[in-house]
Amino acid sequence: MRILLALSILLILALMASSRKFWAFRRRPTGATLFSGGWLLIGIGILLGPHGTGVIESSQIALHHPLVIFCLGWIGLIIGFQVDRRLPKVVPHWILSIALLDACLSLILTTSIAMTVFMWILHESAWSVLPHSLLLGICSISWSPELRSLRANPAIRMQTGLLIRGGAGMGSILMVVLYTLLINAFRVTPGGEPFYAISFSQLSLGVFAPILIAVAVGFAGPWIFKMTEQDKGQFLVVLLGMICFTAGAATLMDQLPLFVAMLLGAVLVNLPKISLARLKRVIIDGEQPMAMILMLAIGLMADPSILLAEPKLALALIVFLLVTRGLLKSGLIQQVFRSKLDHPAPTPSLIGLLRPNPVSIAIAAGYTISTLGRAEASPVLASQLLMVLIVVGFISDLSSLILTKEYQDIHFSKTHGSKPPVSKPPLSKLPGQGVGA
Amino acid sequence: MKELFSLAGMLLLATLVKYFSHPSMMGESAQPTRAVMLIGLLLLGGWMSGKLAERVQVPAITGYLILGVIVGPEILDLVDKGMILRSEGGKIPPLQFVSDMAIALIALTAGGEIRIDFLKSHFRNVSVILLVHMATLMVAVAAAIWLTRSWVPFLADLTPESVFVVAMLCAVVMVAKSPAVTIAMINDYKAVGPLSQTTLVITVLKDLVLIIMFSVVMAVSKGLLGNSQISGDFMWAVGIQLIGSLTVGAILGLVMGLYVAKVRVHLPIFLSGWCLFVAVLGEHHFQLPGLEGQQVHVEPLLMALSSGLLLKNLWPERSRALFHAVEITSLPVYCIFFALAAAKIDLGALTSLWHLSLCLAAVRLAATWVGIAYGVRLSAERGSWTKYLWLGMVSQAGVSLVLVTVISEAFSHTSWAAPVREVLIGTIFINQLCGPILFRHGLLTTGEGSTRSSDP
Repeated sequence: MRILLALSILLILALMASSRKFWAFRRRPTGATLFSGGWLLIGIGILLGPHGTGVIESSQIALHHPLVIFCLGWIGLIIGFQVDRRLPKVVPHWILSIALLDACLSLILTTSIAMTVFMWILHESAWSVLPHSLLLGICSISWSPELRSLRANPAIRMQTGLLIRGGAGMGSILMVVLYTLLINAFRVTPGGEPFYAISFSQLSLGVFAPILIAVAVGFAGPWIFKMTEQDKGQFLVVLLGMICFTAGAATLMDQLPLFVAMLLGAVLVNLPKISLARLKRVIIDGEQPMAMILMLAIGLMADPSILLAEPKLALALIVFLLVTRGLLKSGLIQQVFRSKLDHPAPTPSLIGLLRPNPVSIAIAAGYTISTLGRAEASPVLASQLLMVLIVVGFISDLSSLILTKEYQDIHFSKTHGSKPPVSKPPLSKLPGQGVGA
Repeated sequence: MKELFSLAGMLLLATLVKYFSHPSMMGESAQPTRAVMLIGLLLLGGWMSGKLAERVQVPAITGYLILGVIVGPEILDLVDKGMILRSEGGKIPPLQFVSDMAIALIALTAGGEIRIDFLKSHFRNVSVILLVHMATLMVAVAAAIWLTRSWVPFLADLTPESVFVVAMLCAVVMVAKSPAVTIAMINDYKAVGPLSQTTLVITVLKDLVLIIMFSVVMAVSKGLLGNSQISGDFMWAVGIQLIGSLTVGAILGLVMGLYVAKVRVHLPIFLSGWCLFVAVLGEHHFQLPGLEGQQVHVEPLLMALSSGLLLKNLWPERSRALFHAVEITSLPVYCIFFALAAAKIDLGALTSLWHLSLCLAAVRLAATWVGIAYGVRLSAERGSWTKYLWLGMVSQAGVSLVLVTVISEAFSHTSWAAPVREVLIGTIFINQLCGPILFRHGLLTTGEGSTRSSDP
């Protein structure tokens, strides 16, 4: 009976959250922070899950995995659509350079810091905590593609928006690729201990097999879509079939569904003679509910009490990750950004770089259900890492909200002597405000 | 040919993925995870095989069914038994939920297709046809089994009571027909007219009668073989189950109507969630006070049927958007549902006792034709379409298989349970393949249905 209750609550909440009635609240800064970041839904998930009220028991958690896999596949497809061969003509090269610089710095700095913390508190060797440190490093790459911090200044929205979006999109691609390399470089012993082992057969199976699946399904795509004869039902069959098949196949081979679906999206978007307008419309329309469902499912998997099991470790990780993120994104990367802009961008417009890329939470969810994440003899549990990333993400998002407000207040009182009016943005949805873009 | 190559490529790819799967993904605990790729395979593969079937002038459903047999445990084993059949502990396999959700959606469509005004004006005629058809079918099947008992190896040594029980149970199973096939065919061929409407109404009413009849026959059979006695509580439980299902369905229909009126976004996702809710609710058994030892449950089929009926007839305008979403989501559901239904078929059973299955299918076919023809004559229905009405009554699928499973589990201690199960499954398989082809012929000949190629 509990599952029925949970289903009803989840369904009502997920749909209410994506309905127009909630648009107004969601467009406000606080509402946007809670909804667009997915934190409210993660919170509801935690509340309903086995570590909250227990409406959904831990034995039923595995039943949600297909939902997580499907959502990851859907989001992967959106990320893949950004790997468009025409993109270099639209997006300046220096955006790619900044995204690469951010990826390198975030990966190196966060991995080193996380590894140091693990070794210091857990007294483990560097090798045994390397996969977990690398995961945290990968998840620290990039920023959220949302443009909330630009609302106050529409004049700079165009160029800065392109920068934030473009950089976040490239960051998402890099994160997924790096994570794929990570889970293929590390295996789990029969005793449940992760170890570094890379071989040609493992690499070929881990990397080339997903590529083969994505390429095979992707190349058949134009012809299959043509066969649907513009029929909505047939179109839905093909779309759902492709996502389920690629994401499911990836999971069976212990790969991240995001990766294979991303490759599929990349193949589809780069094939000539294929009209993707309808596909993109359907995929982007479904992005919000998919992101909501994914966040709810992640909330069900999250266990806040796990942080108290190793409070010193959790606290140290959260503090160090936040400080690193703050210094790197709002310091160095923001300066590099600013130097490339044609117009001087006021500080609040770039505070949004503090917000984590939602793909990081999706990756952490994928890691939780992967073989590496489920390794029993691992010194760090996947659920610990997931919770740390949730907390870091939430605090970063919240800091961004507070700082934006503060800067706006100061800036406005200097120029006008009173509080700024509440902006009324258009109701039309900006594409890619959810997890994937 | 392109469809064939694509389908072959898809199956090859799925086989390779299964071969190279990570060992941790092969255990029972990873079954829900495995379901994702299988759903993708059934969607794409089913759709392609449906296209192939249409090329050779066969209904798309037959294509889905053939794909199900190919990917099922007997041939490629991509959909293994653990994914579709209940374990001994009664654990629900992951793809069973998908099937149950599909039943809910199909029944919702069926409810939406029934117009109260048509039911009112044709109730007498439809009832006459239904009763004559069911009586003829039951008598013919039971008589055939009774008369041939000395030639059938597993019946020859049985007591007259046991043969009677077997005959009664087989007769009830043979009466069952697939509402899913009827709905899917009517939708697929966009059929509108008296043949499709009457077939649908008879199918739905038959399902209601069948649930009561099956419960009574099971109770009588158990009583005759000394397992248990038919009690008043038992009959109450059956009644509560029926009325409860219809009432809960009506409430859920109201909730759906409210959602459409107030929220109205992401209808396909809402529908999927609603169907999952109905499916999960259908799996629950409730202990009612005053009915000691009798557990009741609500039928997903009846619940969804009553929701659809209520919505379409109470709020035709409000529910338009919802039924449009149902129409869009129907094709993916059909692809998965029919392929899974066929994957459950035990081909081994068909090969060992195929001659008996064939005879039973022939008796059923003849009895259906005679029963419907006689029923039509007794009723006031006239028109050239009545000649083809029997063609829509042949198909069997999920409901029949469920009944066979219940029978084989309830009488597993007897010597006849296993062979009877095999014969019945073989017969259902034959009807499953022939039914859609015959109904298609009826719909196209009367001009009520049109193929996709003939669409404007």
